[in-house]
Amino acid sequence: MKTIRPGIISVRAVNQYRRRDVLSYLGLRYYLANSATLTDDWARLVASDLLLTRTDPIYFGAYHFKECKECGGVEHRAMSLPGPNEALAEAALLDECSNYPIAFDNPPCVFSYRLNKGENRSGVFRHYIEGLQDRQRAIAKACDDRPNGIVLYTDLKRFYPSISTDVALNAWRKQAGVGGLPTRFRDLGEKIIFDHSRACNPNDKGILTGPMFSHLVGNLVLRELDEKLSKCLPARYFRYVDDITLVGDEGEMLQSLSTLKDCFNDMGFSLHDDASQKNFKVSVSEWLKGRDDFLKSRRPISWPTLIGDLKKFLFFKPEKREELQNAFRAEGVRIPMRDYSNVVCERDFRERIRAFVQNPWFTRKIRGVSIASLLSQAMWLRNTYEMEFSNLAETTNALQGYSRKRNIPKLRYRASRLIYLATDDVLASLCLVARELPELHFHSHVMKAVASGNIDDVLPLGTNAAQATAQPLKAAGRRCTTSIQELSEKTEQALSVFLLNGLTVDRSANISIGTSDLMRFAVSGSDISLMKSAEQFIREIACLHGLTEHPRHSEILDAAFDKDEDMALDAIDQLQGESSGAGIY
Amino acid sequence: MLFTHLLTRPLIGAEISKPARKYAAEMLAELHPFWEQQAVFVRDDFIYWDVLDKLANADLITRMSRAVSPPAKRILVVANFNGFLEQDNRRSKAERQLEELFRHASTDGAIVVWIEPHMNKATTSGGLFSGIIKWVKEGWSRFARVNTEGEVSDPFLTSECRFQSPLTPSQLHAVRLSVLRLDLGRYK
Repeated sequence: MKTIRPGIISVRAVNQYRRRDVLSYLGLRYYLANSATLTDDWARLVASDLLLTRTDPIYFGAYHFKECKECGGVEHRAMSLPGPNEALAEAALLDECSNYPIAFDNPPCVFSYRLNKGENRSGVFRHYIEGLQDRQRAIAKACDDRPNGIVLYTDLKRFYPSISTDVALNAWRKQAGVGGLPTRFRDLGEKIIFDHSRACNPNDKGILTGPMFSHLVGNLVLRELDEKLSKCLPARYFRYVDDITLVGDEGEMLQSLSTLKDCFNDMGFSLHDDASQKNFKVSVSEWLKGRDDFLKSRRPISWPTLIGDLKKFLFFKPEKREELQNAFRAEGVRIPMRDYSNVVCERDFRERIRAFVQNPWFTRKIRGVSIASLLSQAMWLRNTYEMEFSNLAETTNALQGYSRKRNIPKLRYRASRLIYLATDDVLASLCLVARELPELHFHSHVMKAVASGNIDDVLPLGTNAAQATAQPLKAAGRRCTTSIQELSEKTEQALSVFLLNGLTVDRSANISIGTSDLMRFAVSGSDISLMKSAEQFIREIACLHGLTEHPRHSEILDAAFDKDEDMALDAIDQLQGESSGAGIY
Repeated sequence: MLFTHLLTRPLIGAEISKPARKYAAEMLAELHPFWEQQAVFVRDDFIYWDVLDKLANADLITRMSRAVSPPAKRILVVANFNGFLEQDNRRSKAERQLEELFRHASTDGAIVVWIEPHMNKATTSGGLFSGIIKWVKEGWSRFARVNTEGEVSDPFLTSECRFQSPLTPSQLHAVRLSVLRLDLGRYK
């Protein structure tokens, strides 16, 4: 049966929230399972109208791993995940904003959350790695101009929770006025800010961490200050979300830092203390050694080539999916295989392919990708990353300061890919190596859990760690076990993520799976009582799921939504928020 | 059942007759479980309403305003009114109250669906519908208009279908309806 191709806005929302949290993604997929909702008109008119007229805010409070505390515990980031309708309406709003570059494009000194435009479906925002690469280039240029200077990194404490509703509303209204945004979308932005204020923690000032709109609001709130600081500070000023980088000589730096602190304090933000590990200084000459750290790999075989070829193969030969999965499993590779069989039924897809197959270059390219060639690429990358990881870990142990900081993203890059590539035995031994480096705490726990199937150490970390573990375990066809005897709110959420992925979790008889609505939804799908749940987010997704004999979560996670949906790899993507250097090649 | 969007809606039933309100509440109670399976949650509320009584009308408007905040798109269904309104000059006496009700309901996107039996009292020139249309065009034009969009050029439409009565299963009975749609909003 021919189906309709999803509109740009829905694909952007799906890609963006897939990288944020699996629960948001599932909610959106259930919402978009209704073909009427796939069009951009639905997102712009209906979803926005439903949001404007809703009475209660709908956000799910999820716990994500943030970092390890110095005392040894884990610090979580409280994420507020918007309901599916809001996620789509928000994508429509951000798409509309992208039509007004004067009002909503970032100033040149800001590199985070740049709005996607035109036909690009990769996300609501341009991919974060592009912003990091551009920031690296801009800092390098500033360093070239001050060869004897220093580079200073600092960051703002609790950025989004420090933005008050009034400040957010003023910034939004001002830029909406500058751009001449239509009233409907102006109201939509105000409504979202208002709903954030109703849903936020009483200790926070108004803007939630989690929704995509918060990123735009964050940039708008600092817009005037960014422009002012980039002009008036003696040092060069660069910002990526809450990370601020200054480049200048010692004197310029002292003066700039003082001005910076005063300006941010005046706006209700505060920078981390000088003694904080978040702040560090490095000489320009030292910094410049790492100027190419963000450049793409020039190797003939790389992670992007493997994933690109894999997607091509699954896309053009969806019937070979199981065979490929079995071949990978036999070699101990845990890369998930998306099912594109629905996508190839789209009328639009068939028409475009008909035109493509007449091109000899195209047919040659496709014919060159086979199960054997994919396996060969995977094996080459496995060996390369294993060797590089071990060497880097050994040298990093002895390093301090900036040299060590430069190595950490490279180690994380390789560790997250080895979670998909390394055999159980090798992964188990690499996790012991990773454990020696505190910066690889998250990875070492995920590596251990994926290698052993025991998820005890991952459950307390949060839903992002759970999804990063669940996806490769599912691709490996493994069962998991936990010996945890009692569930807290955080471990319960994390366990639900494993169940949402369709994994079998062998657990103690003490652990009941009917204790929370999320867990019941994960295990059983929907029922009438979940459709009336007091937890509005669960209620919405339970209704969207509908009454079925079995839950549909695993099937939905396996099936690709659109040709342009990214191959989500959670052990990589779920680290995005935890490490801005997660994409270093 | 799959792919259902959550819909929570208040339903206010306004009716002068107590037995009629009771029947309606009982019938809705039987429908609720079926709606809920489709993720449609209706909060019904049946109240006394006499269209000739200004205070009863004010109560209905208050109830309607409180039902949803912020105001959502409303649909006002008016049904089977000709028998009552076409007697004793009641139509004229009801005009002020109906105007007040429709004006308060006239948020952006609200509509009125007025259903009457296809009878002369409702559909002929000088009948109930032509009287309503005259009010809309002459006095209510800033907040109401007769919908004649798309292929609909008539101010109201008629329909007929036959059903098998459970009391006399061997016979088919005809039901003939006429429907008038008004769009509410702000018009120049």
